[in-house]
Amino acid sequence: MPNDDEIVSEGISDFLPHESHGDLSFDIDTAHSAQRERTNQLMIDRGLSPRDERPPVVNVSLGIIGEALYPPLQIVELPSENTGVMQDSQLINLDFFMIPDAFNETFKSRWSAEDLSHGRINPIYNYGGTERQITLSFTLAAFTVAESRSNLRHCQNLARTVYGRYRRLPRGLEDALDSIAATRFSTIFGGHRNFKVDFGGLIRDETVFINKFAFSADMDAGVFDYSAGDDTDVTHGARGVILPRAVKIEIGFTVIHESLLGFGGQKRVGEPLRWAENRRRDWPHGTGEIDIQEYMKPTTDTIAPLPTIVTQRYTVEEASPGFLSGEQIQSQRAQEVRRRVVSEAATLAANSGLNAAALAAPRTPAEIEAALTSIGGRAIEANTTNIGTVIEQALGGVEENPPD
Amino acid sequence: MTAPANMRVYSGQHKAISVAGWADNQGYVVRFVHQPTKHAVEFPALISDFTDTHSPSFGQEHGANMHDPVITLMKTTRTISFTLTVLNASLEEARYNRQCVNLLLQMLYPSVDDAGNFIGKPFINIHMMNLLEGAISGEGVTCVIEGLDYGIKFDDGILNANEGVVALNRSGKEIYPQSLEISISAKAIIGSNDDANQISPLPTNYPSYGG
Repeated sequence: MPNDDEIVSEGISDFLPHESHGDLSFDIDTAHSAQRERTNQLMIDRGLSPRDERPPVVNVSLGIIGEALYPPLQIVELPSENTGVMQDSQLINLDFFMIPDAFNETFKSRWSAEDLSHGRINPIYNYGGTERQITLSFTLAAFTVAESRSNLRHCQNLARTVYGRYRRLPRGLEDALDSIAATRFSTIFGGHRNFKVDFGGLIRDETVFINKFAFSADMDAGVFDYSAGDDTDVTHGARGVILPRAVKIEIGFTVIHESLLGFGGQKRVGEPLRWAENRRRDWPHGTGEIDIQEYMKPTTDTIAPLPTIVTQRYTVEEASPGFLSGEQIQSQRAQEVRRRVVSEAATLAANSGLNAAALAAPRTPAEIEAALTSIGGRAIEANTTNIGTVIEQALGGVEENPPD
Repeated sequence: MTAPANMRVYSGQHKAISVAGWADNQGYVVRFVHQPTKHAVEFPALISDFTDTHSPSFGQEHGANMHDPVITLMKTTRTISFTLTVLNASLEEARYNRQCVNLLLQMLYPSVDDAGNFIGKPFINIHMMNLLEGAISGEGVTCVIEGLDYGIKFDDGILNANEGVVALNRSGKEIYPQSLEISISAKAIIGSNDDANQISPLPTNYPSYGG
């Protein structure tokens, strides 16, 4: 069976599509647009605006081999959670093919041992958690001057991932200071950058921070030389600039898992032997087309997900002793929210022509009210008082998901 | 409620060309059992760098006019480390082995209750032929795995579907190495003797290397 070792060993310059390797020829423009669409989709999924520019010319030659053999490495920066602040620079988003050298993943469990007395055979072991770190080494090779420049741009962006984020205080506060003071004091350190990373079945859309970046130019592979005039494929016109034919990169990720890891848990009530994540997929690595094992299969008898639009919670005063008990507050607010939901929904339905028509056409007023009340109930469970959003959801959802 | 998983050595249609066939034939199998859940997984025992270290630690007191210290044995710890190589002879075996490796990685996590509290410490029972057999039950040695390294060397090659190299990876998702290495370092929990007639809590055949 062919493998990448055989293909690479044929030598890049001698490489031709080989019968046993399948068809490696494809349209570069199509590949670029597919790459752009994939990146943009990932950015949209993360709540970012898609980019319009063409991706760098990285896969004109060696990139084709990388694309044929390996999945792309995608790194998308997550925007800061602090609202009302100006970011220091553009978010770092990368999507490129490379030739990986090594992939290492380390799982480190935190155990502490208590020694109680002499002669006791075993100490008491206490478990604190398990951390996961990933190191990926790869080569960015260049066939042309343009590719080499593009590779260096990638390195530049990757290097910036391990530096902190800086941000500006809100404008109002800045205006209160004079201009010099504003420059000096209104820029504050915003902490580390978080990213979403995807690399085939090995890293699957994980939230990470990057703990290491090492870049080395492989001088043994040679450089593109200077020659007066414009850039060609093999010479460049910028005297004093070194453009390596290959750079080696090592990058380290520390994974921050978004769901509880272990067996059992709140998504597996009554199923202590099943993996806690409760999704139809393997963990941590993808296994393609084969069915997942029984203990990984999703179960349905779990708590239904609540809306995430939590905009206001009970204040300290409301929850303080002597005011009302928590249950009383919850009951009162639930009733109040329910009344407002129904009342405002009725007003909205009456005033907005399209939605009112959509609501009224197939349903009776009682059915509409039941649907709104049901969704209002979910809002109450989530402690939200953002009635407008809830009602908009209700109006949008009545037709698609009518109540039983 | 689901039963504990018991993932044996690969026995699919490519077993004859796989190292799994030889391992099964010879009984060269390493088995891991997650103690809180009893999930179990097995691999062909392609073991390198196996080390079983028994380390005594002593307290020393130096007195006046004494050349040699007064020694007090504090405790003896047993640490085990080895590297397990997982080989994939076909895409089908690679996918199955990845599920096995996934389960082994999951074993490093505890069982948790409905509120998210850790309730079952991830002790793992390792049975490796006669080298890690367990002196009492013969079902292996219970260990605290402190570190596990999972490594792929892409220079060793990757697997692709029969349709050609582009068939698998242009999909952008699946990538399987021909071989991967898992390095494990663990502290052993020493089973104690329940026999009232024995003075030492250590089992008589401890550490039971089969000699």
